[in-house]
Amino acid sequence: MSDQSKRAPLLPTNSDRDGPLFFVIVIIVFLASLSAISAISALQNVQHWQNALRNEMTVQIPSGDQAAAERTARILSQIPGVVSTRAATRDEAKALLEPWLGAKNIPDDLPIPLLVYIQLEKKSPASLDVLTTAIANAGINASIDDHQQWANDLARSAKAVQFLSISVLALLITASIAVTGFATRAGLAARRDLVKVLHLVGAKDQIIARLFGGKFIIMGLKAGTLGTLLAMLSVIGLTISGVGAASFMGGATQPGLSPLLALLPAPFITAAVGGWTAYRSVMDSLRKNT
Amino acid sequence: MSHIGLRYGNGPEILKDINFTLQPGSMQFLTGPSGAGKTSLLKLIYLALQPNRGFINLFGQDVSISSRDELALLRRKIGVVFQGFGLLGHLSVFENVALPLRVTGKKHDDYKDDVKDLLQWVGLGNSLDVSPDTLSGGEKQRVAIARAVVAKPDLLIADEPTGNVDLQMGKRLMRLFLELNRLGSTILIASHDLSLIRSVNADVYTIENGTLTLKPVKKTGARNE
Repeated sequence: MSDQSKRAPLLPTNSDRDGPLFFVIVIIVFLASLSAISAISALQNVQHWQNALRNEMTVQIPSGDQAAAERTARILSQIPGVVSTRAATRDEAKALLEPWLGAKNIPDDLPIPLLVYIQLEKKSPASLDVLTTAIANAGINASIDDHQQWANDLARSAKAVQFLSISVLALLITASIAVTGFATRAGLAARRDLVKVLHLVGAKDQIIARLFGGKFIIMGLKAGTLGTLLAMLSVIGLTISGVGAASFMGGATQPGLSPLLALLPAPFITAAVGGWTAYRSVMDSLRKNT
Repeated sequence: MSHIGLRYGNGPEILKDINFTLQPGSMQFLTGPSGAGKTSLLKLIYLALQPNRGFINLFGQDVSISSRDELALLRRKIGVVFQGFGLLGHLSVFENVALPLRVTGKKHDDYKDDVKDLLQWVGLGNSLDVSPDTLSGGEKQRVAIARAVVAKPDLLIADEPTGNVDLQMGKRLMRLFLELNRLGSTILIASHDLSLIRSVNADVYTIENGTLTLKPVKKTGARNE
């Protein structure tokens, strides 16, 4: 005779329809995780670019006069708020053109503008006006760029990607709620015998709803863990292969693997969404149909 | 139960103006030809159906204005032996019988021995772990009866409870019902079996063409035999 020390689950744990549903949830979590990584990477990239560009300016000497470039660097380095300056050489300027013109297609007499790089203090950087005035007072023909136009364009692009990623994430969460709700109602219909008997022995709706909610919490945890792991491995693989998580943003920066940490709660969120959706679906169905 | 009328969909009225009172602690039979509405009447009493008209008052509570939670609590006072048994194949015999206790939140250790004793009593002490799907009709019926009585309900409703068991087991199960009745439970048994009805000193209601009448039946036995 059995000891009957362990209670059997009232809801059968293995059902034929659970397999496909499990993989649908895995796929949804996988895609949602990639969307989340994309959104986080976009946010990190915007911050990274803005921090980097906030402390840099570039002076362009259109004449390509090396002496003028070095004089400009010397003058600007003495202005408060400037940490350092460096005049680029003609070879560096040529190197910048090589991707478009080729290494051997730049004649020696081609006038190439030279650049002077300015590194500003973080706390009290010199303003664009001060630097422009200093160059003008020195009688040097040069233009100065604080990179704000470029930074703003990139930030707009990054925010667009971030918005898109969050939208996809929201759609996937909605899809997971819809799939779970549909599966719960189908499961409830398939288990009409169980629901009927439970009702007639005095089970409250909440008890029946908790059975289905509990089942989807466990399924959500398992599927969420698998989907999240697959997403993490994909990103790690891309990073190792040199594409990286930042490729979602066009590869402008490399934020590393830190966005992966944000995925750690994903299985628990999946479980909570699945459990809550199943619970609500059962409560609604029971009220409407019994 | 007063002025109860019941119809399925737009069909004819199955039950017509039923007026019926079950006195607490009484034992009563319900009989009548097949299709007369016995099972429908029982379903109304165990709250599986709502009447189209009339009022059902159960344990002093008007069920038409009771919340779903209140109805669940009322059902816990009722034990039901279904004609189709209503056993769950994915649970063992033990788990099926323990179900009414389990849904009330009782701990496994608190009811384990009672369930085993009851199953022993109905002759299924060696089938605790098997699925009801593997049992014969008579064995299933005994499991269904054990489940109906395990929580010592205030009201026991049984739909043809001895239809699938042999005479000896039928008498044994009747003794179980009588014992439950002696302990204070109200018993209502729907049956075609006149010998069973005559063996017990109880009121007999007959349902015919949707109407209910109390008819005397010649007794052949004592109530507490």
